[in-house]
Amino acid sequence: MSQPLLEFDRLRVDFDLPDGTVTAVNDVSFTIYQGETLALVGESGSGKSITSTAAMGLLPELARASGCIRWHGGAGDEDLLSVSRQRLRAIRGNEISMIFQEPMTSLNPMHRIGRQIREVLHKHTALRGRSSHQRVLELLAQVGIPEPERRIDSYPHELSGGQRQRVMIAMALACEPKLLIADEPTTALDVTVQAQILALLKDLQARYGMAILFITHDLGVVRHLADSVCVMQQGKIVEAGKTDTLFQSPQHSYTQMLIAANPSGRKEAVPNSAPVLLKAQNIHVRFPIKKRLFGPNRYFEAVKNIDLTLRRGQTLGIVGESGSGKTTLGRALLRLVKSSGDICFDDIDVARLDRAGMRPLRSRMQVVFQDPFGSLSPRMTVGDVIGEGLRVHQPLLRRAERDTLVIQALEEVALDPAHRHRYPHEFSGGQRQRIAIARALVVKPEFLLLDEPTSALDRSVQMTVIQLLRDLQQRHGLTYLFISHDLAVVRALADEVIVMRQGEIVEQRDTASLFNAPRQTYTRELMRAAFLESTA
Amino acid sequence: MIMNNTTLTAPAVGNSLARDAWRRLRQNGAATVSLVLLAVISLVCFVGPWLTPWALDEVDWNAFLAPPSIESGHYAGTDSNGRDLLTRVFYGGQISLSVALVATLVSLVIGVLYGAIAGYFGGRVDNLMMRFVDIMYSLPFMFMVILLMVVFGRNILLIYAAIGAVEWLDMSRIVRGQVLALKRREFVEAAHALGVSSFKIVTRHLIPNAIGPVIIYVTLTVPKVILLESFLSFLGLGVQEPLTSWGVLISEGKDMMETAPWMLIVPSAFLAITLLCLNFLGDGLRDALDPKTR
Repeated sequence: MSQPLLEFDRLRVDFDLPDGTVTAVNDVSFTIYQGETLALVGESGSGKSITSTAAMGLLPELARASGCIRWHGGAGDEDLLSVSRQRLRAIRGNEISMIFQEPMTSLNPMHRIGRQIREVLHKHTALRGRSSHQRVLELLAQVGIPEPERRIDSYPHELSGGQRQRVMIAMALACEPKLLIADEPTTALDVTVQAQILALLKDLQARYGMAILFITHDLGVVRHLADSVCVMQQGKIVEAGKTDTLFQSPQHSYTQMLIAANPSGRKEAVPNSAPVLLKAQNIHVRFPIKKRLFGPNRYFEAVKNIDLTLRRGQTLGIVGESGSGKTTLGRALLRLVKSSGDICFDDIDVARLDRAGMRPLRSRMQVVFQDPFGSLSPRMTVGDVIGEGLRVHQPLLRRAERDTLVIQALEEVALDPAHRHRYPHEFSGGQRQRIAIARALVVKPEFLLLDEPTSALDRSVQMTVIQLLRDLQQRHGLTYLFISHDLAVVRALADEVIVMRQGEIVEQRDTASLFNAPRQTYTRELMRAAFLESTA
Repeated sequence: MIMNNTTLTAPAVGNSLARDAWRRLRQNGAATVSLVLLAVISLVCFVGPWLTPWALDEVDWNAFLAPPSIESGHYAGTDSNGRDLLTRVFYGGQISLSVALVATLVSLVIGVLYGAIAGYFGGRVDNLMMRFVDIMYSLPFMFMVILLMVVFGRNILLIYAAIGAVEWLDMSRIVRGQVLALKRREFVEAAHALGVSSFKIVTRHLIPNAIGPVIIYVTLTVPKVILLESFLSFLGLGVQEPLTSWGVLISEGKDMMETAPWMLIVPSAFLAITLLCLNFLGDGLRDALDPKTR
């Protein structure tokens, strides 16, 4: 093995909060060697990001760090926790650089990308004028931006998410760092883009011989990319080792749980004789791009003439990447966005109904959204959130009766009914998603639109929510429309799948045959990217 | 952190946001003290005139520009006309506080509703409603006040109306901006999916979540209104002698700063304490209405 590059030695990070000290990172020790890729894996709140920001000297003000982070990449050995600010600035972006999760926000929207990359060069190298311009072009070409001469003058908003992440990588590589810290660099990206970015990182690592500290929650990515792995749980490293050995024989129960936390099980298909609950024909949705007070608007076609049929008890999965129109389609079916075409719900033509006419039907068709933080009003108690549907649909209920129903709904989603007087922010992501499910269930729907209900959750929490959804479907004979970009989850839950791209249906078949033998190139591409491990 | 929270805010039965907010407000020391002080000041302004030995326009021929003294009964001295300053400050407080209260309430109610409706419905409705606001903005304030005076004659109520009619414009823009951002949030969409009526969505979901900046703006509006009123009075469009207001008293006191400093200090002190209390109370209210702060 080569030389050690960065050593974490009994790193501990405490946060002094008004209500006591919270230890985010506790006694963490590991070493990254030159040229290797080490993955730091853990679920949200495990302290993996804090560990990496400690190495960059970027800890928040409230944090206190102790222990030692030895950097062997400079002239001698240095402790990154105790070096001077000047030295730290010289290291950042030059010897160690970092890329972040959110390519939308980590570039300054006011500056051209060429200028942002040049800024790094000016700070750390002697390159100026023509030669720095040349170097920026070179970098952009290396990270696979097409037409670098033209793109160098683009603003961040003119680039796609994947391209922005490439620009971030170009910035990070500008000074040929010895270590690249990548904090969930592909989490916000579509799976096909993620596969491209990972391939790019591998390629660049080989070219520059740099080490990568890769922080992620996604074990598929780890297996694909890393040489060794550290698994973190609640601020501690519970297991560390070479990637292959760790995946083959995980020792710690938490690692075993993480590896096993893959959506399993399949759904029995409903018989073709089951009555049709929802039938949609020629659904078309368009949004005005440019609104004018006078004159015609310009439109973006989000969903193009889609037909679908849902039978009672069925789960129809809709998969697609961002911008494929899957979410818009779901909202159109619930009449939450304007659409043209016919929608028949239980033989009622809902497309012709107005707001008031829709109201009685609303209790029969409900929705659970992706973001468990955004889908609950922060200023209403959980009891009020869940009870609101009852106020609308059963206005004659007395307060006590409503309260009983709210308690029942909370018990149904396995939450403590005593918590109904609390506010949403006091709950974790998974609990909030259960609250959102309870809000939908309390009005006794027959049809539930699930719009990426598990995407914002940790894998282990996802499993419990999926199990809950399964149980509820069996108990109440619910019909689901399950929208997701996560093919593994869809495979476990749906009995029929629609693959969407740019507002159109690419492929539509029963789950088993679609996953076993996808017919369309796009579907195959999507699956290859989603199940990285199968091609690694 | 989530766990800590849940154990500490053990709920009483039947909480509502308002009740929780009231409980949190009382836990906030500065806000509680401010609330009490404001109550005391208002009480004194409305009851005080009966307790002082002098009437509003009563001239004490023995004491022109007399400094504060206990024996003479002029506890805060007299002005250049020999009128008791403390009595005048109390009466002035009645005017200033009620202008502030009424004008701010008017601007709050109109502004919040107008802005929330424009933001919520969006599109053409929003466009038309906000263009109307733009037109109102472009009319000079004085022009509107004079217009009102001409039409309705001079009346203290008109000052309230005029000031309120101008201040709600800012408020509506602030609320509209908030609502525009909020209505895209998923909890609003979930309410739509439940069939909640537009009115309920605006009042139960949008306005409570937009309340933070609104309260901050209200605490900024109150001093603005009090100063506007004194400006109008200075131009002869506001309150008229012998009636007075804090703004008028301060502007009179400013001219006598060197010979009779109490004429500036006493009304200024009342105004300053009131505004300070309002700021603390505003901050306290904003925090109390946000369940995330404890």
